[in-house]
Amino acid sequence: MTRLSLPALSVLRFRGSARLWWGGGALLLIAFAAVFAPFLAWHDPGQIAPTARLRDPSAEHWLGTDMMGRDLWARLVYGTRVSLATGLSVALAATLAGGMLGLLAGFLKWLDPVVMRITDGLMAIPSLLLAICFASVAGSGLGTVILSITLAEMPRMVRVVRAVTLSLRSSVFVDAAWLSGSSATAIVLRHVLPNTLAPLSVQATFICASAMVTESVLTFIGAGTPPDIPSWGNIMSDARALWQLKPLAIFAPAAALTVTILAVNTIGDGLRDHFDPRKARA
Amino acid sequence: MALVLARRLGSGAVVALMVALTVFALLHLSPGDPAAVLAGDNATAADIARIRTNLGLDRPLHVQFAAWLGAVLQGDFGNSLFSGQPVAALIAERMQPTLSLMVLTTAIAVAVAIPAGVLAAWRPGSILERSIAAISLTGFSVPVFVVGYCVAFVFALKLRWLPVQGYAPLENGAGPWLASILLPSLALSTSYIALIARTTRAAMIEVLAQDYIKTARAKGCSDLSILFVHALRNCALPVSTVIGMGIALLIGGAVATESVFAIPGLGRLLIDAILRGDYPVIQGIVLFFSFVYVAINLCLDLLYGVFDPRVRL
Repeated sequence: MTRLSLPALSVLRFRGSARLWWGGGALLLIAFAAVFAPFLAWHDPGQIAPTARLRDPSAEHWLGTDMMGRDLWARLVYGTRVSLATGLSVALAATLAGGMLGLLAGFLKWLDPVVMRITDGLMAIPSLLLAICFASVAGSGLGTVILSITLAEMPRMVRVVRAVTLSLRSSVFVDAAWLSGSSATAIVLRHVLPNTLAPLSVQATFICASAMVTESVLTFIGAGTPPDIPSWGNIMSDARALWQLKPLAIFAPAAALTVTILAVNTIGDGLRDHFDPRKARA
Repeated sequence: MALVLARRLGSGAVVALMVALTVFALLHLSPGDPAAVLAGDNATAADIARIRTNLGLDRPLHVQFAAWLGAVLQGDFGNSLFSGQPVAALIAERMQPTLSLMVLTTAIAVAVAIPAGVLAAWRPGSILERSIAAISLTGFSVPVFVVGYCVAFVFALKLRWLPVQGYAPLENGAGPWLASILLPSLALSTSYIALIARTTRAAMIEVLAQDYIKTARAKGCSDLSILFVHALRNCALPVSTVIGMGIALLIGGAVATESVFAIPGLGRLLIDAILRGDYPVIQGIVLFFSFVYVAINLCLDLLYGVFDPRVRL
């Protein structure tokens, strides 16, 4: 990694962007399914049909039906919305709040130790447990799930942005900006913030993937999205009792979840390599 | 040496205190009222007030925190709202399955991930490296319970090699015990393997670019001895760090895995407590896991000096 020749660099660029294309393409398809769910599925995902319980896959029910006669294909398609909404909301909230805290902590000397001790404490609690803890006391609901995962994921963002801010603060061009009379606000907004965007976006992508995993696990164990919302975690949770007879009801949402998370993580890897080709080989 | 040791222990204690404060704050500043939960649906306002006084919930928060922390330091995590049993006893009762699961998972993960990471670094750009990288990205993206159902489907339902669900205590023989936790550990180790392998690969590539590796090559060392004797030792720091950080992943994963494989461990206890709103149990388990996590990372911190004599304690 010390001797990067130019041809090697261009290959790396290509590798990074190839991954961006693959991940982005897959995610676009998934987002398409989420937006056009009513056109892709012709059954209501919540429609209970006691006479059509546990049907095998057919032309009418592509993936069969569950214990309450609900169409699994419809639930699967609508479940895309929950996963994407959770991932995006958490990534957005954690980026905005964590980014702001990280910038402030990196810039204000008195605030830094306070913020660092709090993130120390939050990061010492395994993130799933922190989310469980919060979700279990705040009551069920998609909003609570998003809030609790944000709380668990935010410390990582604070750390990343703070580290970048600290190193930028002591850089020559920021010194020059101080000397030329820029105000603190101008320095943060014009000189520091733009330089944190690359690591920020990489971290946001990984947080998005991680949030979708956490949502599904939380929901699967009964501390997440309420059962009446068709999410992938709920489909698997419902299918748990009969999974040995009807493995498709577990494996279809499991595959959808895995592909979605893989797409987002691939984008994250591609972004990281794109912004930091030096690290791409490491 | 003693001074540094004391400083490390001190910072560990500060983190543990922050954890306690966070867990306490989360459960006490939340809108849910444990007294109302405990009193049930038909309780009058007077009933709820009486329960609140009994639990000490009417006292100021800082007084409650001090009393609670004092009790926790003496190993008293309070009593379950549901069964009335001490939380510490409940945790002790359920510890064996979870501990077995985590120890076996760590052993599998380290045994697979480190050689895989080293091999991936051996020939950057090769098919071997690319497939290991792709597998580890996938392993990192599959939620643990998905892997759980996959291995259970193949090895237990189809091939019938291992039991589908349940846990056999160690006291009843090591064979059935191992058989009962092998599949859950395999499932749980997937993302852990991916994490460790990625870090090992990155660290190895960095180390392999160093001059002393060139020297070793020049004096005729075999690839095998260069990789595993000369280079790997210098990766100890990042690799042991990620093993320590990964314990958090393992703890979260254990909760889901125990649910898939119907293992009566701490994760199962936690899920039951969540469903019943049994907040002292939730508090106790989260606190216990977090303390374990902090303690393991502290131990690894102190072990750095053994791996790398340049890191003076």
